[in-house]
Amino acid sequence: MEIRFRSILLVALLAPGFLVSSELAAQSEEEESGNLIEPQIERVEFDESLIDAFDFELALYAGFLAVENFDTNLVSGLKIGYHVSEDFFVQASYASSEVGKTSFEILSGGAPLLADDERKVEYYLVSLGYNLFPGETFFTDSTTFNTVLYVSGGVGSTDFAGGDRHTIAFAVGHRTLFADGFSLDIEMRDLIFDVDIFGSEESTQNLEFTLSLNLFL
Amino acid sequence: MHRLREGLFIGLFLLLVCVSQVSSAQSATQAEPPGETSDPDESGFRVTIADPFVELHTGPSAGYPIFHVVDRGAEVSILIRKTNWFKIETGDGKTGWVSREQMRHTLQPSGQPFKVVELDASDFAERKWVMGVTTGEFASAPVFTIFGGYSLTENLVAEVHFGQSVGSISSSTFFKGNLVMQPLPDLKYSPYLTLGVGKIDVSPSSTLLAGNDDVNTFAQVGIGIQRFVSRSFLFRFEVNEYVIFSTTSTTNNNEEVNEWKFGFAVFY
Repeated sequence: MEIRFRSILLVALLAPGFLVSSELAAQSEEEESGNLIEPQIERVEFDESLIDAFDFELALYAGFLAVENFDTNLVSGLKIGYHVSEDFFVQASYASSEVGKTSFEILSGGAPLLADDERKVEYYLVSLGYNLFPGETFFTDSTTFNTVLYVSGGVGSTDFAGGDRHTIAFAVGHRTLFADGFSLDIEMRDLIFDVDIFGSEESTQNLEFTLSLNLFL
Repeated sequence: MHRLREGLFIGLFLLLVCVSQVSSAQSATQAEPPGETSDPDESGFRVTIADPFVELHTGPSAGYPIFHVVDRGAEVSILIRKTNWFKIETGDGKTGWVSREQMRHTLQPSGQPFKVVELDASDFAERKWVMGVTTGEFASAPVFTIFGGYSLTENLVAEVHFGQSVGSISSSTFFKGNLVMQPLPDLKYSPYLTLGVGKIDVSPSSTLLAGNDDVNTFAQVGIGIQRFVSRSFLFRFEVNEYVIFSTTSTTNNNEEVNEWKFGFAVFY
């Protein structure tokens, strides 16, 4: 029993000393051979902000806008976008068009419902978009273009029939990227706003079909 | 009204340009490398892949298919960036898109988490510029607002709002300066208090009898909550009370108007 106690005591006394001496030995070895772990790859550091980013988007678009109860006319506009992530983007758009006569005005031959300057349609919208289905178009057997089907929803205002109308818009679009900095979009948008020129206030669905040229900056 | 709308659009464009400049300047200072830097040449930045491997997608999104894999040690050129994706060119001429997540060690040699990119709640608290859109109801009529802001301190943000409300009786355009106080900017759901002053231009709806535009000064107080959602993105909801100092009202009373709105914003 006593021998056992003595040996435990001995171990307890000697152990720290042994550990310290082995550590010192390891340290001196390390000093001799330099760093133990050599980096395997020589890395070149660089400033990421110098890489060209293509997050901003500038677009010109034109197409047709069908205003409910009125006829369909050419529409042209401008879009500015920012791509927040691979999925989400925000976009501001502004466009103008002009409407013709309602079928009532043509058939009755009576007084026009709107003055000429009230037939101008102008809207601006701010939308949030989501890239729903990324894909590819195989143009020829060796030429492939990236595409994406996107959806967006936005709010804004439409100036029509002499007044501003709060507008909600939903859109579906198909984008074909011919280069990293250039794309062609086909978009179908529904502009929903209230019109009160026929006596009572009614909600109208106004469909717009456009083609846009987009530059990424 | 048309001039206002054009002004709004030009303003928005300038704000976008300004913000893009600021964000690139910011990332330039944050990504300041300690050692030698590689300069871009015509073929982009030449880097050596330090991650175990990187996957090349055909487009800048996880949805595009992977067509090639580059192993550690290979030399590639980084050509351009789109959101969180880098277009790279391999030694044998293949070009594809790699996510920033996979390039982490290649981009940041120390292997530390890449701070500039992966903004978290603390970056949200440190943000300087914010720009957004809100929609809701102002005096029971739909309202639409765009705003931009700059953080003066961690708890105090100066904001400028431009809004338009279109009702059945009248429509109004307003411009206001706001001070936003956030007592707890680090919280994911961060509450805030706002105080503002501005001008409001009320014009009667076209189908009613013609009347003159009415421009008045107003003061506003409000509360709201904003939530940081993902990288540089936040949602907010707020309720405001406006006191419009009517100068033309026959009773000469101040008009009180309530507003609620929600929206999103991008911050840098």
